[in-house]
Amino acid sequence: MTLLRADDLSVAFGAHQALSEVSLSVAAGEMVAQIGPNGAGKSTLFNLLGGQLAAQSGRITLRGVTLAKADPAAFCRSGIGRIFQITRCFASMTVLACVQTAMLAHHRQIWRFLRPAERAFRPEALDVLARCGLGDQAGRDAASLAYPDQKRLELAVALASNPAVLLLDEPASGLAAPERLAMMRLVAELARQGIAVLFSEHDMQSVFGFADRIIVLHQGRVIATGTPSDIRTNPQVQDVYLGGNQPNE
Amino acid sequence: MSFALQALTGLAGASSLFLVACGLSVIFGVTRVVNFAHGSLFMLGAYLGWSLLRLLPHTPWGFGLGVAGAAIGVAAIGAVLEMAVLRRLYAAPELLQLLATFALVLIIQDCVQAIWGPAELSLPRPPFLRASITILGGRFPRYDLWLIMAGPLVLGLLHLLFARTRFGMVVRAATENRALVAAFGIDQRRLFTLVFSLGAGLAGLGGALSLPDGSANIGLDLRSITDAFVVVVVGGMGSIAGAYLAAVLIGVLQSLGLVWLPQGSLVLVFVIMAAVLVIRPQGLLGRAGSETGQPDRPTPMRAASAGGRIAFAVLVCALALAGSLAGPFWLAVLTEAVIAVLFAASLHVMLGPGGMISFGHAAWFGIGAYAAGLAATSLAAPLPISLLAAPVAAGLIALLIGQVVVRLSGVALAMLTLAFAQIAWAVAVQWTQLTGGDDGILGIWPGLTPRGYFLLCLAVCAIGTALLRQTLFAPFGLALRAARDAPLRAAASGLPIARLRLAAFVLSGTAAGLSGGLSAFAKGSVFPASLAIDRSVDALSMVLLGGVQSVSGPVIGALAYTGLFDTLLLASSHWRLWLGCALLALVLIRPQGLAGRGAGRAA
Amino acid sequence: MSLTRRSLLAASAAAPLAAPARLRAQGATPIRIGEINSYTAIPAFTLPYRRGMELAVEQINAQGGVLGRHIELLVRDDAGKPDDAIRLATELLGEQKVDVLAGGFLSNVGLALSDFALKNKTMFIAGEPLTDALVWEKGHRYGFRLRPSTYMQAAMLVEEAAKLPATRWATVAPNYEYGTSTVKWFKQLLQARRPDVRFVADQLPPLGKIDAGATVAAIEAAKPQAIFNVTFGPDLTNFVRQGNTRGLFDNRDVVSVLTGEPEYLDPLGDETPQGWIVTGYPVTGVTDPTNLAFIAAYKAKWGEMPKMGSVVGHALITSIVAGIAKSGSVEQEKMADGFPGASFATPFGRALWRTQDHQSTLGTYVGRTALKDGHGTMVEWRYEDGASALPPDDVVKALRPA
Repeated sequence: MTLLRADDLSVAFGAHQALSEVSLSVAAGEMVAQIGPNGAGKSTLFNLLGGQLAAQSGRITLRGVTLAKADPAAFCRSGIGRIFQITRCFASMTVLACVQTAMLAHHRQIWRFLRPAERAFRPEALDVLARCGLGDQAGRDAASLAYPDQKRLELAVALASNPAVLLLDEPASGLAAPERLAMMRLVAELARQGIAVLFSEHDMQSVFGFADRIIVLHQGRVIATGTPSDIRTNPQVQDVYLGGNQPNE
Repeated sequence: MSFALQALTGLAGASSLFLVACGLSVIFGVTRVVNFAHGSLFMLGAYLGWSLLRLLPHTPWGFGLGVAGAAIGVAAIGAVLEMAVLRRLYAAPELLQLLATFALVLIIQDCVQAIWGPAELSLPRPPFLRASITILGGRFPRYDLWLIMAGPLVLGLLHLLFARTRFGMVVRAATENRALVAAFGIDQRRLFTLVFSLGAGLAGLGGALSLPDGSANIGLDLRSITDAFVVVVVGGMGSIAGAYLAAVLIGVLQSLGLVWLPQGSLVLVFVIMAAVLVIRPQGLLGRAGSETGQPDRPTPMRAASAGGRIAFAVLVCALALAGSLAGPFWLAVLTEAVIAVLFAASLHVMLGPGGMISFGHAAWFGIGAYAAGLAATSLAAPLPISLLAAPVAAGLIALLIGQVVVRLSGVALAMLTLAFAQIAWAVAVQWTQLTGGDDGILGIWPGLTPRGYFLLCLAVCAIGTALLRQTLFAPFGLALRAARDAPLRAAASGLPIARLRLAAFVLSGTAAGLSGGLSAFAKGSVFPASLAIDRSVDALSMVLLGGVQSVSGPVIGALAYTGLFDTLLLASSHWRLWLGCALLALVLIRPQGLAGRGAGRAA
Repeated sequence: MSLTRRSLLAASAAAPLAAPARLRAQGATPIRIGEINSYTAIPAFTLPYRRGMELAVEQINAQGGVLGRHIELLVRDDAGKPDDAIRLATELLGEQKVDVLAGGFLSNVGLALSDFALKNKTMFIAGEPLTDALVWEKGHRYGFRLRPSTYMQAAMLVEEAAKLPATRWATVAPNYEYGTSTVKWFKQLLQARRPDVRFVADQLPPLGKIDAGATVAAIEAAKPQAIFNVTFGPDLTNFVRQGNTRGLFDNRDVVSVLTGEPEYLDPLGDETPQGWIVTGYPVTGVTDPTNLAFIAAYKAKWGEMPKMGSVVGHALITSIVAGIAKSGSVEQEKMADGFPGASFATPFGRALWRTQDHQSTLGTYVGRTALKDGHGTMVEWRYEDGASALPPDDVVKALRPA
């Protein structure tokens, strides 16, 4: 079942056409990767799908319902969760509180001014942390986590909103190989539980090892889409990648 | 025709504004230091210029030499200040630099008075500075024509410096990306010293060039600093050309405004600034996102431990005990101190967890004070009703103003709050029928004994402060802090950033209003001074002194600041010098604030 | 607590003054006058003022003080803020047990202190503040004011202004109470005398922040025949310089409040405009023995010529001492009864505390500005007694509810 659909998205920054008529779809339980050289428009596409940026034309639908206005909070409430390339944890809080905060937002309980939030959704939040492998880190300050754990916390905070779709902008960037693999396995497990995942990644092993389908962006256009084996043999893709911008291996 | 002459006069004013502001812009662009002491450097330029020009021959060459000498002198002073003070603070939270520069303002004021005396010093104008030409049907000072040219000339020279020299290229690179400069192996310390010195020299130049039209006097620093900030913010932080454009806009509009609406002279500049910021938050030529984002790097904030709660309770009891033993004066000081605690705590909500700097927090304090005062006098309302009127009025107006303010961030937001506070101040001064104007509202006494009223204030402020603290760890507080810590992440988790910030703004304004209302009855009077910039600076100083990131910061900061202030004001005719030195010492020794981490647990 | 307070005050600037009083003439404790003023905010005026006070205290104590007791002066800086002034008044009254409160420069500080005095039933003698409210709308049993008020200054100048042929007038005044109310009185009194007068422009530059070029151009554009100026200090210097260069004052009469006071006249230097009708103090011009003696004593103590502030400070102390002498006590109620009608000597001659409104009859000099050896000075001056510049008693009564 297709959950997230984008039709003919275009956006320009001044004279620079960042994306032209990009279309894609992600189904429940599916892992779709988007790849492309630097500047191909991957992050811009994530920003459109996450509601951080408004498209100049085109349409985004979730479960057939159009998300008209670019508003990240509204996108989140509709069921789109995302993580950013650069981790942005809530630096003044504990790991647990980061997740609790996202849960409070999800359950629309943020307008409570007096009762301490300490126990709000505590079991649920601990559960999410455990799923992300952070069960033993709950009491630490978010800012003091090691880098791999910060990436996990990003994921946990995104999961706290109970999303149907996850947009993961380089979830494993900057991680050493074993941690990268662990992270991708975690993501795959989430997909297996029925979440639609759209991710980007520089590491081709992760892309070809985990994606069900791959979308290739080049200069703001989709130049190819298909299964990993389709893409591997696609001459146009080879051309783009061999033409200069080698992806990081 | 007179319209053209008025506009031409405005251009001369614009050049003066630009000369004050461009140095501030240069400094901010590279070092990100919000330099409150820029006006003091301008004042030093005027005084140094006065001293030099009296010795030099009264010829155009002598004049030029003297002005250049003053500029170089102030540049040297700037370099010394940078090396002695600011250099030590680049790693500290950004707002702390602001507190340090405020301390410098106080110190320089006292030093200037000690060196040059209190009297206004005017420079005798030789004939070439008095001459006028007939133009557009009126007489126009020839010196003002030179000034009109001086603005673009300095702009051009700065442009050449930045575009054509290696130093300029490094400065531009640093403005874009500080890390990059460090990566290229450029000595950042030297660069910052040079840039600060350049900015200071420009301020000194402006000060010296202002002499022929006026005099060197003790008020020049504060007179010029707000203008400089307004111009820099309207032009776009860090944009020199923007500063010139803003100076022209403000200079000409101000000059023409004097003809059409002379009674608007108090607010015209601030109305222009507010209008520009609402339409274009980054300023005329500023780039979006180039302003400072947050008042401080967020650090972990912990809910009060059992020990912290006990410490707070002990403090309240100690204050109550002190109040029941104190004589009338110390009772008044204690009353003021507990009111200051609530005032500081209210600003802290906005500044710390809210992530919004306010340069105009006095607005809410003053609105509360006036609301309580008017309710008590004009409506003869009983004490509880009058006290209730204070937070209600402040909260409602904050709700209105907040709609615009929370859309901005960083220094632009701070300047918009300042603009609003200045407008509120002007209303208090000029709406005489309602507010009594400068003469204020008198005879607002609470109908309790001073001791009884102190206990009431203590109770209200302790509960109010405790509730504000409680809020920070309630769901709302978590959401607000999330919105400050990582706005993108927070929004992607479904948090309504703008509404959260608005709520914090209103909460902060309401609590400040309550403290203002309490203060009106404590003093028995309300004056426009309750809305003035000084009070906003007091509030900022208290919070920064205590530490932005700690919940106990505002409590400790407010008690320390009022204590320091009250004792020094009494004990010494050089209280400014001592207060400045004390603030500076605290900033340098404890950059995290009195209550900040490193002091042990945040209570 | 009070131990620390005392030791702090030992370092205070009041200490040198307190010292001679501690010699305890005739074993009695000194009478304490607590004075609060804006010393750091308005140093140009308040420093000479303070020196005038200190001279008076020294002179009075040298003659044995009053009621057989010496005078002790305690000085506090309010930094120009009414709030701080109130707190300091509490300190002076509660901790230092002063017998009389005095001071103020800014009108709102004066009013705040006066209100405080009323609440605490304590004598408050305002020296400098000019607002009429101090003795009229907000006047009360314990409040007194020394200097000629805004009304009186305006009335003295209207005397002269009414004689001018000009019918088109412009005004320029700092945008705060003192400025606006002086303009209000001037307009009202002048138009009562001269119904043909019209006011064609009113400029209200912010205090201390005049945009002089634009202000001058705006006045010029209105083509007035005469100008009434209320600006002072750095604003006045800027205004005069732009006005001179742009020819604003050529062939125009200018009437200007306080401009003849040395504090404001000296900075104008050789650019002092000639022929302005001003109130002020022609220091060296006044050759009557009282003034000469004052100048001699002042110069001997401080090594400089007195200014207007020196006269006010000196007269403030003598007026308080005279009031205490007449009351025969420093009990507040006795002083409140005794001060009205007390007569005292000032460098300008004798004055007294009016019973009608507690305004003193200290006057000021009205004259014209002139240039002498590159310095501004006053010529054709006469001393205008304060009593003659006040409205009739029935008007005062209506203005003063208390």
